[in-house]
Amino acid sequence: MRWVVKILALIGVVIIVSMLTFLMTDLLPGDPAEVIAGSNASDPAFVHKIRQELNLDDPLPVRYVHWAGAALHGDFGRSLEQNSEPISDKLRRTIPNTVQLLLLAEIVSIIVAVPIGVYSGYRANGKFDKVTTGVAFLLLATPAFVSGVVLIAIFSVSTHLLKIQFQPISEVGVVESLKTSIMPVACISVGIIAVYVRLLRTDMIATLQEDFVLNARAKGLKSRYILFRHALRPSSFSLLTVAGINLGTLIGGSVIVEQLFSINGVGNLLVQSISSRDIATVQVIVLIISVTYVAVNFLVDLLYSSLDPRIRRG
Amino acid sequence: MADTEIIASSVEAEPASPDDGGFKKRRLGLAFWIPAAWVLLVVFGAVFANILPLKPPNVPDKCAQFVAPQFDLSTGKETIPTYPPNTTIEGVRADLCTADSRPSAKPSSTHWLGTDTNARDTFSRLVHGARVAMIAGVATIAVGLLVGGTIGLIAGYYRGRTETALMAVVDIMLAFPTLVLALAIVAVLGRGLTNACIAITVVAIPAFARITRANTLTYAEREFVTAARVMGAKNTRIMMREILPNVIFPVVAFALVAIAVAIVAEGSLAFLSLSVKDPQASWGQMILDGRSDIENSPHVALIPAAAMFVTVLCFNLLGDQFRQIFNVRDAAL
Repeated sequence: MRWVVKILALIGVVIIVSMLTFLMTDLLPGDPAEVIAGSNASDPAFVHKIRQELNLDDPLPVRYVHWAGAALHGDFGRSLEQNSEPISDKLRRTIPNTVQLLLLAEIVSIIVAVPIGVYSGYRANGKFDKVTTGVAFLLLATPAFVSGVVLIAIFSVSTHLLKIQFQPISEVGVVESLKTSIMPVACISVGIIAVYVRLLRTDMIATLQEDFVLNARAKGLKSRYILFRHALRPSSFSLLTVAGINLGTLIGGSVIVEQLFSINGVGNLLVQSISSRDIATVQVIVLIISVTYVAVNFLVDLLYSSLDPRIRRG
Repeated sequence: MADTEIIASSVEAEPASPDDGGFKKRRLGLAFWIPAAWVLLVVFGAVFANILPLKPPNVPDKCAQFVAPQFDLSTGKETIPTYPPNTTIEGVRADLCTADSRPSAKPSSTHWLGTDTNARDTFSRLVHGARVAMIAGVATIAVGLLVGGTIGLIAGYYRGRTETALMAVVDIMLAFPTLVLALAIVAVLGRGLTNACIAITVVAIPAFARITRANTLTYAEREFVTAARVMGAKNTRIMMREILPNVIFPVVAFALVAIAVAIVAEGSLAFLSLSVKDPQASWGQMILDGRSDIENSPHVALIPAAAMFVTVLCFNLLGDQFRQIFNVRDAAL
């Protein structure tokens, strides 16, 4: 019963989000056809063509159903510049690059943050903990475009270790592509690592006070075993929740980083489409990102209860 | 006032950590004064940017055209033109111009922080950029605090259907990743500083609604609220005089951190060329400008990046100090 309610809520949110996204064109002052035409609005023939193609004379709800129905089938319409290209083609080119960045950033963040967070919590207020807390505070104050220019200045300009230009897997193969991903991924990860370390540290300190940890220690188990086998799992819940919410930060970070390292990704496409006032493409990208965001947080909710038996029973 | 006494006594009764001397000692620490001084400096620059004796921020150095290296096609060498003494071209003493006036010049006595890729004075642009950063940080958060705070206060106090309806709106807004929502708003409104600020404000409102509601919930059931109600106080009075003074401190602590986030958000939009229009200076736009020539002169991008980093760090530190002073728990966020 609980799950039925949750899934219904998920569907409801997705529908409302898609409605709001669809409304973007009608929220603009003036004729939607001219708005969609963007820089070509002065051409009456083009505006007329758009009106025909998008059935703009139909009432709003009818148009929404058409648009959403087509989107469900993977048909996102055409980009409405003069050389109109199907939006799905643009997405096919850009999504792999962005997904590569986001996955790598999430993996790197967790791999780096978990041991640091666990150890700072274990030796809370020790030297290591004080240093990591300080560093985490500094990293939190570093936006992606600041860490980005610093990284470029150090690794590309001064030492020539890494190339600035990102190269996708499809063009140069996995190894080369991963090499060019190092800096962009590092940029996105720094802030997230700081958040994860702080969270995990706090939760770890709380878990290590529990009786079962004392029991494990009394049995003579090794510290490492206690930390990673007994204490990590119950300490990782807020980390998991935040990992879901952080997808938003990740996407935001990737928009910046894609610009900084000239990566042909979704964020770059979004910014370009905004600049050229190609609202049709902007709508589709906003829709896809928000639905992914909502869905991932729903999955995190699912995972949460499978990790924590108390929630499953409760 | 009774409410301030409650806060003062609760702070004295339970200091954040037992080993420091309590309220007064912490408040006067360097961790407060250094960031406060920097923030004051930035605010000073932002307010008086037009009055201060700065070089024009949006015009290239007049000397730049006279000291640009000339590429000689016949010899294939770069030469720097020289002028006889007392040469005046277009009202500029060309013979007194130095290489310090070139685009992307290093810091010198002429240009304290060097020039950008268009030979404009970086220091002057930094100070004028501080104005943009402060408008984007303070104005957006002030409005976001007012609107979001009101929503949160009403939702947390009245509960029931009002709360469900208000929080549903807030949750829908949170269904969009923040930067994407801001970008969508800018896409609808068009680029420009005002529109960027509107976008940041809209994005800030749900965060403030949530934190204010969470704090209101903890006070709405307290005895002094019941006492006020028994004495016949109206709802508005209870909210304004009993709950608000308690809720305001954690929310202000959050606002200081939110200012930092808003400054970064404006910087991000400017970095994506969606905020200020050329030639107006914004730190994010200056970093973008420096990015184009980062291979040859990284300092053009690094200087505004440093300004942004320090400012954001200072607001975070101030927010942290506030949180410690008023014992705000992270859980409330």
